[in-house]
Amino acid sequence: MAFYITRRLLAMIPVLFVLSVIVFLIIYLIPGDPAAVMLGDGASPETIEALREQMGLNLPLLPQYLRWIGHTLQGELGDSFFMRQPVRTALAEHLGPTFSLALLAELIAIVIAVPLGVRAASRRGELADKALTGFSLFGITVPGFVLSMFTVLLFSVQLKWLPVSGYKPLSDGLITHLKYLILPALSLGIVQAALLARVTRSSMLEVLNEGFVKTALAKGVSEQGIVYRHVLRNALLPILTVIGGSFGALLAGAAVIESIFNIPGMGQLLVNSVQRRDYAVIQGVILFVAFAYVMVNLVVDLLCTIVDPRVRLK
Amino acid sequence: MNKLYRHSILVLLLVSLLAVYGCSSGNGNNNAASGADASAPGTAEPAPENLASELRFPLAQQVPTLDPHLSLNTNVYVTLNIFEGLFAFDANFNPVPMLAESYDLSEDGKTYTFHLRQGVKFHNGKEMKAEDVAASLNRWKSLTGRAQASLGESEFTIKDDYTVGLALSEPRNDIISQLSHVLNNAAILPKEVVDAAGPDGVKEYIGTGPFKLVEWKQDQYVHVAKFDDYQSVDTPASGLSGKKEAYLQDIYFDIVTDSATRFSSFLAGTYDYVDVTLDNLPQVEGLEGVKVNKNLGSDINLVFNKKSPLFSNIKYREAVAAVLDADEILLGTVNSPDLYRLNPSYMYPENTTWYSEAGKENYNQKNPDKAKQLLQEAGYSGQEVSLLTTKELGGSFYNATIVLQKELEAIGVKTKLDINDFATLLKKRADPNAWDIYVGLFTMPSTPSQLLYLNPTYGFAEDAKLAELTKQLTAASTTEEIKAANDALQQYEWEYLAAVKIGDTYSQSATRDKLSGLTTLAGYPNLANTKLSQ
Repeated sequence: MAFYITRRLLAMIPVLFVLSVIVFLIIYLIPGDPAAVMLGDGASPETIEALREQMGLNLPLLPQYLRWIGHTLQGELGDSFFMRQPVRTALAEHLGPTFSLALLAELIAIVIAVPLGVRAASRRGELADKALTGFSLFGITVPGFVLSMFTVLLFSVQLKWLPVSGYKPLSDGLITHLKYLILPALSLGIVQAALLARVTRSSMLEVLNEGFVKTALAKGVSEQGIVYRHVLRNALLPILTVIGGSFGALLAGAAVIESIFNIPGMGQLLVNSVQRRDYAVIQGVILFVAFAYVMVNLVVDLLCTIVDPRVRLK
Repeated sequence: MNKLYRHSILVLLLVSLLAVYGCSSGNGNNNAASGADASAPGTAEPAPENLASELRFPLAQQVPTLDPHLSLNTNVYVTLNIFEGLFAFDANFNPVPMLAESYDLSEDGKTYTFHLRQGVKFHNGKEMKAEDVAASLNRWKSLTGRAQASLGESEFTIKDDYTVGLALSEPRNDIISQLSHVLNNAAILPKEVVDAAGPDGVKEYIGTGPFKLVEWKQDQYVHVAKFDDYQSVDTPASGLSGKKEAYLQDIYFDIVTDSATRFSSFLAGTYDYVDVTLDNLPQVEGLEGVKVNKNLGSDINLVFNKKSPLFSNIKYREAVAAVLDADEILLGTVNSPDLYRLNPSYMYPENTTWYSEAGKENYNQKNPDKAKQLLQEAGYSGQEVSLLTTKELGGSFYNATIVLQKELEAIGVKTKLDINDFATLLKKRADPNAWDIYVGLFTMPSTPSQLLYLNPTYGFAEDAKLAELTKQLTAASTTEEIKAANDALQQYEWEYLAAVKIGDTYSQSATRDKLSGLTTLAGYPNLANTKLSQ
């Protein structure tokens, strides 16, 4: 197991390296200049040039890249031009909100999707199954931001139960923390739930058709016992994989929802940094998200071996 | 019943998992909000019982810097409250002394002497003196294109503790106006802050304004609090000038870039002020306790790249000016006839000193036949015209540009929309090979010398006569001389066509009745005398 984990971590190095080169080239090749953004419309060309010089933007691409990769290898992601703090600190500050949001969204997705999928599979063709199809269609076709606008109008503007936007850290209290997160998490979670419910249903159906289910039924084991104790456990592998993948996607792709709900997370940090061409932050966020994605997949793979020991790690 | 029980167990398990996660990750979060509260100063004078002490104010755009000399449209909302200059505009764009007590101008119009108010304190407790003013204004001059154009090589010098001098090589009548304007904010900072500044800005944000900075959480909010030692002038409050009395203890400028979120937050009661788009207007019109305000905002101008292969030729510029239908473009931009006005002057009618109607026969011509004739004379043979624009900034640049595109296509001009994000647009606009025409909204200028497109670095207006007329304008000293020079410059602006004026636009905002005393100038709110009832 230890060997497997080490190997997986080592395999990440070339992936991250190639990614770093691509990210570096893309962001330096798109036009736009952080110095001009910072100094604004009325700035003189000489002032902009002086700032470019200070930012190190006048160096050719290769020395810029080498300098950056050198720092990165030492664990230093550089400093943000605009935030006046190390990228590492900025990442740490913005990770909390995104992690909370992604986790809550994922929990909402699981709570909705798994029972729905299980029920639909065991009552195939009946009302529960049709409800799942309808829900999946809704979740997949309605974009998260549209959903978020409706929920805001209902729960914040009309009922005034929940705040429209903003973020409060956990240290302000769990209830406050959740009050600010529940609407954005719901908007993200429903889309994930739609996907997850479909996977749960099809995975369950596959197992339900297997011989051991029929044997168990013939032996007189209760239907509920079979569904949750045997079928769900055997169907869990693809479900876990989808959960892992969607959690990674939530970490990486909550940018729109974070912008709408004004949550200071990684997505918003990335969008803002792209707008102002804060290169070091863009690189840092992308590398971090890629790293997190690989780590989530690793955890999922390890969980799979626990759920199903037949999956052998080689 | 059994099934229900089992399902409940599953849900309970997941909820308890949620609770466990909630308890375990608590220390990982960086606590922004409570950090702000901890560093907030104590209330020295309790606010009157019926007044709220905290205001939350939504900002539509990010604040890239709070350095007042690195002036940007977006940071002015905040910096106006923290920093002050020697002068400030009243509601009619007349400069009124703020940190200056008075000033003298020598007879030859070349030497200014500024007498400073005594006893004015910075937020760090230090008294403002001539060394701070000279250091600040020399830095301001070196960083700001408009100030450089006005002041040339001249430097601000220390005469004594409370007197600052400025010796110009030629007489200039726009110095006081430049020192007053919000966009090239000639803010006064302590000398040591100026000395410690790098090319990326000052390290501390210390001014003399009625509010001092408490915390700036990048991309989230800027928190300012009442400055208890603020020394107000006694002149009546008008525009951004005059008496300032802070009734609010704390102001949080929340950065909320999504307009739907800002508006919903207003409806939900989080904010008592919000900008209102036309789509949202029906929701606030007639709403109890809410007032809708119409504010004169920006003007729309079409700027030519005078170095582009086509538009270096005056005939092409004339052709575009001939075809323009200003009403159509303005309506397409703001979507309502109530939110624009036609204006043939590059200045505003409210600005009585500089408003001129010279050359207005070339404004809003709506003459496609003349335009086609001019194109033919210029030898147009289907070259593509690149229209540089952005969908950012509320989409108004883009909306104006697509109407223009339609008007140009109608007379047979081949066009290409070049849509960029704002950072790219800034970069491309500085490149003479990257564009032909750019339509933008500009913050209200106070003197013609502040018009960016008369500058060789903005659209490349390198023209000897234009430079000469601009120089004559700023050198004029009497009212008659100013009027004659101003008319001459504007007449030539309409002939040379560095840019074409399209018109003036208004913006709308909504305020709750419990918010009072808020005034705006050039679209920027002055929160210094604002009261919020509980």
